[in-house]
Amino acid sequence: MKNIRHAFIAAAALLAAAPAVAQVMLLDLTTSVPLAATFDNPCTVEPEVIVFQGSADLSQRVWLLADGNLRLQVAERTTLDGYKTGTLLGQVTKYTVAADSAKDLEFDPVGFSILQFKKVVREGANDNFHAVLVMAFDPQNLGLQLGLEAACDNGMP
Amino acid sequence: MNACSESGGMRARAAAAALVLALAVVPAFADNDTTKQEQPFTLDGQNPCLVTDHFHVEGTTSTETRVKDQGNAGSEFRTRSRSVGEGFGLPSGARYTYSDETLNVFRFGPKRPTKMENRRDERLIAHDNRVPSFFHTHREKTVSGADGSPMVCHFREECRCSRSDPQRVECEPSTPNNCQAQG
Repeated sequence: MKNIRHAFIAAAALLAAAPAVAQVMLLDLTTSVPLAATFDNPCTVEPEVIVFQGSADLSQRVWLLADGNLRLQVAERTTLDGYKTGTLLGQVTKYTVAADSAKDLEFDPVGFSILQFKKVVREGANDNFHAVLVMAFDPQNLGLQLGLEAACDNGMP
Repeated sequence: MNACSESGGMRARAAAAALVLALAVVPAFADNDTTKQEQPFTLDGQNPCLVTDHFHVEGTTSTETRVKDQGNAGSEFRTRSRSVGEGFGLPSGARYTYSDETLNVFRFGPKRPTKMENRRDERLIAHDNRVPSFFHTHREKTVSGADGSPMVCHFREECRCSRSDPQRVECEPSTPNNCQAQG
């Protein structure tokens, strides 16, 4: 856990080193967002109920640029623990997700979402099950709304 | 002028770093809803960590873009780009290499931005103990091509000695270029 924190702090420090020429900082936020979702593994045929809980450590900065565009810098570290209910004999199947990402984007001030695909690890299985962290940017309040989706792909085109 | 051409490089504010970019473009081709581009690039400049050494690196960036149109709900853009390059330094004779891969997935509503630019620190590696490696900024900009399909332009600029060096050499924030939406 300590290593995770260190990695996240390093990512945040990276973003903090942004150039400050001809841009005005509108938002500087570091927070931890709790996450929870229930998924059916889309890579398997049989219906499953997998409950995920965890959080995303988020560091976000928004800049207004001289040309009216926005610049969004975001670093996040997402950790999730999941378990599958309804297994025979009370067996619990565990799942884990732990991955980070960083983005530095410049764009017209319109809403959009950044999707980060994160491998779901289950002991003894190796499918393409991914949890997708959806970070929806709202140009009105400059915030990021976080959500989770399930996918049976890794985000490649 | 092609939408992804670049007329010049970026001037660093200090003389410690200068990176000049020249791009040529191979025409894009479509494979169903997937677009693939290959852009050769040349990087020339001064190693910001060893200013007596001038590097010359040539390589190619391959970009694959897929757009899933979801009607009134908007669209999802997936872009994967891979860059490899190799060159040498003078007078050091050091071999420099560059290799990177990025993946971006964005979901837009009915209104798409006309500009979406992604910046990323990437490392130019010197394969010689006497010559330090350094970072530059890779700017990946998505615009609409002449046929309306997305086109991804790549620019590389801003040499600096390390990611965390607060005294790093910064470039001017934006250079006008010809990577503009058409139509």
